[in-house]
Amino acid sequence: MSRYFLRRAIQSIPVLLLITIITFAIVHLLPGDPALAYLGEAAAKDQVAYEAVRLELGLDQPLPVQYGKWLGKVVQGDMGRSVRTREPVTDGLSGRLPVTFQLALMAILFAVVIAVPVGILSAVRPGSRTDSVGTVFAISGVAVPHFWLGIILIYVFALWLRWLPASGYKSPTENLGANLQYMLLPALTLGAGQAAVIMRQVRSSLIEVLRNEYVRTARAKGLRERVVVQRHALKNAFIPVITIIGMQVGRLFGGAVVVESIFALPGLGRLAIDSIMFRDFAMLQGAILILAVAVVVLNLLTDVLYAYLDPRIKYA
Amino acid sequence: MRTFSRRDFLKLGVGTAGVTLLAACAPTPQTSTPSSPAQPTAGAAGAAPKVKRGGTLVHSQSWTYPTLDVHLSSIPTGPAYSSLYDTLIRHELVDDKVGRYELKPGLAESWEQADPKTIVMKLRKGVKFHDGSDFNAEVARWNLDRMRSDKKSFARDQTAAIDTVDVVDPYTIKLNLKAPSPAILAGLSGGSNGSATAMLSKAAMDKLGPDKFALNPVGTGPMKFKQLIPDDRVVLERFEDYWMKGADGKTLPYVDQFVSRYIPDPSVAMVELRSGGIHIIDNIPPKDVETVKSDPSLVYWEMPWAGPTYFFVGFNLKSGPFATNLKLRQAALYAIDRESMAKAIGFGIGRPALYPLWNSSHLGYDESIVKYPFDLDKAKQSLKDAGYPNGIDVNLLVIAREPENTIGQMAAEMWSKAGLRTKLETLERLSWIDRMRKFDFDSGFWRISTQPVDDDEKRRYFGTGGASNWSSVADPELDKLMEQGGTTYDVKQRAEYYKKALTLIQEKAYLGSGFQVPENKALRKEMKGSKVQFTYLDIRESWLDS
Amino acid sequence: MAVIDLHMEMREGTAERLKRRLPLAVLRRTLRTRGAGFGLVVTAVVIFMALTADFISPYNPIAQDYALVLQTPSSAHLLGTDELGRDVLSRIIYGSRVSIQAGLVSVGFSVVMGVMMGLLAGYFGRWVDSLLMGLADAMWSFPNLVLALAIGAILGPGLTNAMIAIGIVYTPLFARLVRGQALSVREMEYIQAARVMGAGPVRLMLKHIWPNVASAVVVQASLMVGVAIIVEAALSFLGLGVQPPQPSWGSMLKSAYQYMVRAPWLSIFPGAAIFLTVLGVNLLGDGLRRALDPRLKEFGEA
Repeated sequence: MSRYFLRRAIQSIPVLLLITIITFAIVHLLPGDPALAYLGEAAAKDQVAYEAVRLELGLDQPLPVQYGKWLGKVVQGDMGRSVRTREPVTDGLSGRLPVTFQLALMAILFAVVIAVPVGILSAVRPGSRTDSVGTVFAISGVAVPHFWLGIILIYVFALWLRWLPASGYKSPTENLGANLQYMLLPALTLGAGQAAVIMRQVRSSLIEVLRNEYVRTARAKGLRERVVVQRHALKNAFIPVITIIGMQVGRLFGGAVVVESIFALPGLGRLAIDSIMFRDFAMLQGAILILAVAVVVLNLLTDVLYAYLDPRIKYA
Repeated sequence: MRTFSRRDFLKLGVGTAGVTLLAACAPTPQTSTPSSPAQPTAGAAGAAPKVKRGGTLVHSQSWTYPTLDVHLSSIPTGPAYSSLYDTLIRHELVDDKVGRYELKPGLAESWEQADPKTIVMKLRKGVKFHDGSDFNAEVARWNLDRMRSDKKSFARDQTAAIDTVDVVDPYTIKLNLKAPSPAILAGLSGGSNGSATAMLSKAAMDKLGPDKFALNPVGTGPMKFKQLIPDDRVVLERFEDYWMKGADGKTLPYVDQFVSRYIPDPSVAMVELRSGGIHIIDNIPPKDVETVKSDPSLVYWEMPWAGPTYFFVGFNLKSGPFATNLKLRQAALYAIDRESMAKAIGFGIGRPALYPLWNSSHLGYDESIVKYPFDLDKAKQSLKDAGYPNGIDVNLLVIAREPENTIGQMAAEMWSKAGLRTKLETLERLSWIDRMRKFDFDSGFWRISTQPVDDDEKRRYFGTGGASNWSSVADPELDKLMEQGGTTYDVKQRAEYYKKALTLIQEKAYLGSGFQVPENKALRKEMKGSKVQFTYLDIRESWLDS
Repeated sequence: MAVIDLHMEMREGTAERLKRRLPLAVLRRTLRTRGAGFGLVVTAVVIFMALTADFISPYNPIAQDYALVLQTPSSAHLLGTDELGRDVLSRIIYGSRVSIQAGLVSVGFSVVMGVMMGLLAGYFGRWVDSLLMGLADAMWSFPNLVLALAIGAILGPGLTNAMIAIGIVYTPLFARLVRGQALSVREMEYIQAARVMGAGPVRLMLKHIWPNVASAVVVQASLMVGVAIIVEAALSFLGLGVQPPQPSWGSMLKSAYQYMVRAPWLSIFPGAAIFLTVLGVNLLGDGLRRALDPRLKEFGEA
């Protein structure tokens, strides 16, 4: 298993390298450069300042040199400094990483808490009213645009009912209660779509498992339906569900971009967008790398978990 | 208006003869005067209750501090800056009805103009930076040198008049000017540039270097740095050894902690304000003014003498159809229906602006100067005279954000009606900058966030090589007039130069403007005692009545 | 990428079955799925709106009227007016054009690019495969909206560019799907036989490999249309995409968002339009999926 893990990790290195090249290319294909971003509309016509900033940011050097220098440092664990805020990229990332992780985690948790029971109920009685309601919910959940749902939730819970804050962030170490208040609406927004996907997966894989030979055997033995589902079907049904959940976390980062923007959360998604807008090449590289690595690692963990749960899979 | 301030101080100082003395400001002990105007309060005004100390004040703005090293900040105007740092001179509002300002002692206790090219300043003694180091003449000189010599400094324009700075004694500096400069004192107060000319700790800068200093800023201000969460908030806490005293005789500030939040979306900020999550928002959009006024827990604070100008439009004067065609530019200016813009987007607080950059109170303003009020027939006639009887296709570049988006759509429709068939291009901010720099545009507009404090600062918008001169106006005659205006103490004489400058701009139709909305703030009624420097929130005397 | 691996479990011979089936039969089977009928109706209505916007729209969607700014819904303006006094209903009707185009064209772009990439990788294998799939994996590692936004910003604003950006972002999905199939088919005897008989790579790919992957691609594409519509709206919401004053649901939502406090109803309608359309397209796609291959996984997993 550990050898498999290692092999997968090594395999992902060229992909990571490609990611850095794509990021680098993107930032340099974008019109305008970080020096102009730094100066802004108010001063970008100031040629003296422009040259000075370019020099300081090392933008006067040829692109391959800039890339080489950056990569050389990254290998040594130094991701450089943000060209916008001048903070070390690692600091910027470590400050924002927990926000996005908490958001993703809460969204998944929320999704699972809703999706699994509904999925099971739907699967046990396909075609029932519960199943219909669940289906409607699931299909709707995927179709709702995050940004719209976010707006509606802000309107209802922050503006109208005034139960929750509309935006912002408090760190959980500072004040956990407040932190949860701030994170609830974003997590709900992000979790809705995931709940839908997970619910459908739970339903369909459980239905499939329940059709299987061994389940029929268990039933034939006279076991009650509840026991059949709990003891025999669920574990097997959950193998694909876990795969889906693992992969959803990766997808969640995409959704986090919008959700963090709407709820003004200082997370990685918003950082990535801001970094694009400010041509903050160093920070964007860092943010994308972290997210990509997170996705790679999660996929890896999912595979490992899958292998662990499914005895049929053997790894050479 | 804001020029009142300069005029007043000029009257006070130079007098109309204006050759020798700028009156020294009497060194007054700095205690806040309860009578000085500040924010309006909800309900019964005047019954000034005893100030309360403590609490955390939360502020929000729609932009994020580019850096906390204020000399290098492209937007040096937020309250985090004015709380962290002090300027040599303070630019205090003394009459909030008309926006009259006075230059008050800050870190400089007094100053006098020895001759037209020399200013001697006495510095305040016993002032400490947050890191414990002393503020003195050496430090002041280092700061003034940095503002002028660092190529990334945004205080360069404001301090450009200074040739050299001499340390006379540990608490006296002498500013040797390159030429007479009526604008330099306003420049040193920050004025419309907020805290750009503030004093930083040299000791901290030497120790940390500029990159780290920007993340751990050290000033002499009423609040010291606690925490920066980029793109989220700046947290400051009370500086116990601040030099300025409050109404209760103890040192300012009144609040223990100050949080300046970045909320990019004005709607979200408004929701937060109404639900009590923040105490004050800088510059609410006109559409929300009614909401604020009708909410009993909120107070609307307007400064009608200042505020952003929208649809400040420039033409590509290097190439393209507008460059050499005065009639075409005039057609475009005649076609702007400013009243409708002000009404539709100004929601009752907007007012049309016929002259770019000049307000009725500015030096040189004169209604008789040629102007281009909305007139569709004249616009069409000008277009014919310009050689386009069948109309012309032009583009208009705007930054994809609000209110530019909405205004751009209005302007494009107005121009199209007159025969300038306008293709609106809403671009991501840097794409806009890139295209404008490359002169890949016909016309474009940008935001003028507020008026310059001194007319001299207007050069950046149309002086050759100016930092915000997007249309690349390059007119030697105009440059000369501005140069003369910028080096003349005599107010009447100065006004003459600026009148000629405005006349030239208008005759050549170099720039156009749409409408102006007043500077404003929305605050919760429990927040009291706030003041402004120029129009920028200064929270050192703010307190929370909870 | 495991989702796509799941798709690869498709049984062989789907292509043959697909060929045998008449479109009408597919439709009939599609409609057997619950909700697919509803989906068909909604999709048809939206397409109808897009095609006939010029006739059914009560007002000119870009005509500004400053005297009628931010009106609540009334009999004259069923869904009210926006910040420039434009009729919201008319803008929603015209906005359907953008969404339908965005959904179809950008997915079409992904399919064409992805299928080419996948076929090349699967057919040639070795370094071509490694390079192309490495590229696909790397692109897929970006949060989709971040990549779409970046590409959109590079290309500049406008619907065409937004569609290209979305198309590029979802190309890896189809590349992966096709590549896996192509890889397994390529070793089959009849392909080897065809190769020995001198069939060129292009002929092989198109004649023999493509039919085997076609139905999986069609199903995946139908499920991606809804995603593409949402991503286009998100791009418009973030300021890229359709240029004002042309109406699109995303940009309407963007400007309505500013007026959330003052005119909350403005946010409801464009959002609801996106929601209903995506719902309809998804239901239809779900039905299509079941009709073509009941063993394919649930929608929306990609």
